Amino acid sequence: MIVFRRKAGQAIHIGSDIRIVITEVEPGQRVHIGIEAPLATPVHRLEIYEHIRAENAAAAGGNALDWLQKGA
Amino acid sequence: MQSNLADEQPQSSRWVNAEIDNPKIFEFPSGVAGFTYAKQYVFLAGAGNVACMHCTDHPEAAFVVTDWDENRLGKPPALRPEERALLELETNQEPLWLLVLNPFSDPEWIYANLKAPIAINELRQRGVQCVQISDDLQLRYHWMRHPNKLQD
Repeated sequence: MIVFRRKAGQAIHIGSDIRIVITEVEPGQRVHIGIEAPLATPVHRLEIYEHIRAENAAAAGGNALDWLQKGA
Repeated sequence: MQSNLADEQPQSSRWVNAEIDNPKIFEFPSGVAGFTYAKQYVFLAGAGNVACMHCTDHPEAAFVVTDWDENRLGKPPALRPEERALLELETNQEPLWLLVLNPFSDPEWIYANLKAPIAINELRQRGVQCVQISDDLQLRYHWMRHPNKLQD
């Protein structure tokens, strides 16, 4: 993992079309991050995305077509 | 720390040979969570308002879907501007909302994923899975009992 030290207002570039900007650093532990990415690049909070990903995998874990053809 | 967030493409033997007349292929520019590499889907009708959303070239990406039921769930979530743009919706056009059902994780219940419904633009044949951050929407909403359990 690449680790950068950044201040509010500073940014990081990933590839040619993703830009991550530190917009605000609160006195506690929270950091506000702005992300510019192509429309088709999904950007989500990790903890939510991981749950969705696992549930999609479970939902695709059987044979959907077979299940439907057997009369659901 | 090693992080692997890329969706891996499994070597699946679960191929379906199905001939479809005039297939209507829907483009999912972002794929769906966990299957971001699978971007083209067809909808194969099942019983009632249940269908199979099946990827055309990655057979492991196949889902049972059904319509968002406003009577049970209320209005579907609002689309974010970037989701509207991905769907190429016209200004006042609303998408068709679908829910991914999970009939495989529980022998008693079929779950619906309210946390990540699918929005479809039927005219442009485009789809997006819209991840919701609201805690009010359940990942495993009890949609219905399995049909063979209804008599129990």
